[in-house]
Amino acid sequence: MAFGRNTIVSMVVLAFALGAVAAVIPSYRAAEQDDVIRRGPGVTEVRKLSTWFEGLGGTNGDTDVYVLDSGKPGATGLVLGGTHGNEPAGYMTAILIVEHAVPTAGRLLVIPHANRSSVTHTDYQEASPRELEFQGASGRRAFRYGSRATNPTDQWPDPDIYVHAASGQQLSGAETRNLNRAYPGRADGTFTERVAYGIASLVRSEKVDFVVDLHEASPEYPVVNAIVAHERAMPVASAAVLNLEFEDITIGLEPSPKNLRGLSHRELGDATDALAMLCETSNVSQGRLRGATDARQVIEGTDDKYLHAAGLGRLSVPFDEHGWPMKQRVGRHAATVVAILAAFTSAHPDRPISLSGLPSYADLMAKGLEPYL
Amino acid sequence: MSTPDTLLLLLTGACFVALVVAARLPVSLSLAAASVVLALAAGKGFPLAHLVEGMFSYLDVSLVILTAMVFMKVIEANGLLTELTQSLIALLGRSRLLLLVALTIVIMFPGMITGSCTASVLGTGAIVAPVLMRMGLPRVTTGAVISSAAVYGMIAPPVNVPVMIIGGGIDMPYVGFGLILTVLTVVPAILTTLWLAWREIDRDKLREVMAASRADLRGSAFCGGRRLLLYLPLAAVIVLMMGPKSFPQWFPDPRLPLTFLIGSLLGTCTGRRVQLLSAARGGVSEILPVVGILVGVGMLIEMLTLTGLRGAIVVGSLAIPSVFLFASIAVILPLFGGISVYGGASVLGVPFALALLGRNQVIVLSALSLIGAMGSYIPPVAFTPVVTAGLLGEQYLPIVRRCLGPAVAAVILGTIILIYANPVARLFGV
Repeated sequence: MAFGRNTIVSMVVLAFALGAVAAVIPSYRAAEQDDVIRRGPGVTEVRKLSTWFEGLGGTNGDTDVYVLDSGKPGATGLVLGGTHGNEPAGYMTAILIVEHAVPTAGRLLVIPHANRSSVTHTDYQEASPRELEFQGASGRRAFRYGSRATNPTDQWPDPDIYVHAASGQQLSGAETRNLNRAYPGRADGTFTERVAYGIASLVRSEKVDFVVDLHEASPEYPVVNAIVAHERAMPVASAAVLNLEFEDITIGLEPSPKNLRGLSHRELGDATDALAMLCETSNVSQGRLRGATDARQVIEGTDDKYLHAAGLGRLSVPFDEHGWPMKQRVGRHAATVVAILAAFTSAHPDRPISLSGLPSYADLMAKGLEPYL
Repeated sequence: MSTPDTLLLLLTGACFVALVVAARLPVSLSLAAASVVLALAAGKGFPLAHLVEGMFSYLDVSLVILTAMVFMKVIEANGLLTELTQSLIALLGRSRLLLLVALTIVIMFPGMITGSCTASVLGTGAIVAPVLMRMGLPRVTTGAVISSAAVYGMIAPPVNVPVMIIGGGIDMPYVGFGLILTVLTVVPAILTTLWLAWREIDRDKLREVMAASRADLRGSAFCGGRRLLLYLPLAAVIVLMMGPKSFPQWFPDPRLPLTFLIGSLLGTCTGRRVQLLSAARGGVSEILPVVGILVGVGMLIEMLTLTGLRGAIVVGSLAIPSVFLFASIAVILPLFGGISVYGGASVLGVPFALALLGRNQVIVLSALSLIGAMGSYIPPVAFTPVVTAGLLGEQYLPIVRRCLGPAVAAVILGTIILIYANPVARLFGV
């Protein structure tokens, strides 16, 4: 049987494409392995999110919930990291708390990877690194870098438009896999809505007093280096901002928009008794203006294109050749969590909550993140 | 842009053009090769994982295109397409104006409810094409009419994905866009169709075709219950497309690929006998080059991001003095659309929206989506004309040339609306 030129070219291209896909499968499968997170001295229990919503059992949505219980009466707080897998300062802060913090009053629940599925893949066309590597005090530590959204292998295909179930609000179809557009979630909804439902169930069942959702945003985004607070959480958030000012950490305070639905600070604030807050730091590796994309950029937070854009007055944060390194972003988040705990305790002295053992912003800026990993 | 960035961009462009023009490689393979050259030249080696990741960027769109094409082949073979063409001419053929206006809206409709120009071209565009050609329109003009209506359908309400993408980037809900988007899309779409087709329709021929269509319908093998049955696949596709949009809380969304597959299966049970496998092979064979282009585009954008060229393009655009900002939006946004309209909305639309924060954002986002959508005609991808050309068995560049005048007018309209966003907002009460 004779083959024409086109057939031969087609077969070569097909063989190359299949070979290329086969060659990268191991690296994709490796992303399914959970990061090593060590139980610190304050961790009293590790549970699964399926404890509060059985529907997540056996799925990539069933993430670890670390309980740091002082054994003393007080408030219960919840820290969410990894809502978006491409915002690493959020989950690195949560990991820092799990590995170092010791509760001295009340109880803190920490979920380092709120959307566990989001760190099992990276976004198309974003050229994201797969892994962030640190030479920690205990040796090499590697943490996955992921996507803003749930892995399509867990939820696919996307609809043309995403309709937020509770409000009917329409968003672009890709937002259907964004955990921070899915709250308060649905027990019989999509994978992402079920994860949101699991977190909302935890908040209700454990009578969580406040939620802090740790995020990052690009330097040109209008809401960055800020706390976004539900109206009921505003007094605590305002006091936290003042506490941070004493540490020379400038941070903005934004009210949670009432017409933007599905976000943790809006829906958990409306649907539960918790005071809902969300924190943002400035991360160049998420931005549309960034230069060459790699792990160095994520960790060091420097970028020549953003430096140029800063000179043009196009950014929402100050930006110089030092950029916004990971140590600074994690330091800001960690200090914000501590400030919120202090502010809540001041506002509710009958329900105190506090931590010790967490490195301060100044410590992290001076020594970096590595000594604590 | 810095000198190294400029050199990299020129090298990539030269490599692509050389492969297409000199080596006569398909556009898809040329895009893939240019992506690899860019990565190597930027010192990124051969980033296999990123290239593969880029390949999958448009998997969903590709599935829609492939299944829609199979559906079209099935309803062409089972007699529905001919029956539908004759019915439309018999119903609307009395008036040129009425016919052209109605057909424009019909082409736009699938894009309006799905946000996809592909759905328009391969859905109702494929049905309307034979009608236009029987009325005496040349193939190129037919392609231009379908392409332009499909592009406007893509950004017409209720679903405008570029606005949703830009809105998502600046935390703005998709609310209050209905009226302004209707005005910015339906009116220009109708005017474009009239401009393209009015003079080329032969009124005598139209009357003849209408009479012939009526006679054919009277003598059709499909009458009564059989005719109703013949229309079942189309009715099923329309219901499955509209149901989830109209009743999102309780109507399950089968998504477009499954919708077209269900329509195809129904098509094999109604009308003339159809070999599904043969129809599928024919459809896939015709549209495969378009899918290949999407794979290549995905790889190229991933490499532009990896090497920092994407950021260089965005910052370079923002570096243009503010007095020239509107001119740069009018030029750069459609140019980036030459690679991907959705990509342009995400990569450039968001920074441009942020640069125009002092103006009414509903109007700004609507105008940006209008300007960006005109990138659908820009080579190398020229996505909408390419898909239309694939459908009609025509070259895409003549279609692009026919659409260029109205597209430039739309960009000028969008730019004027951007400049006067606040007065326009007061006019529309948004």
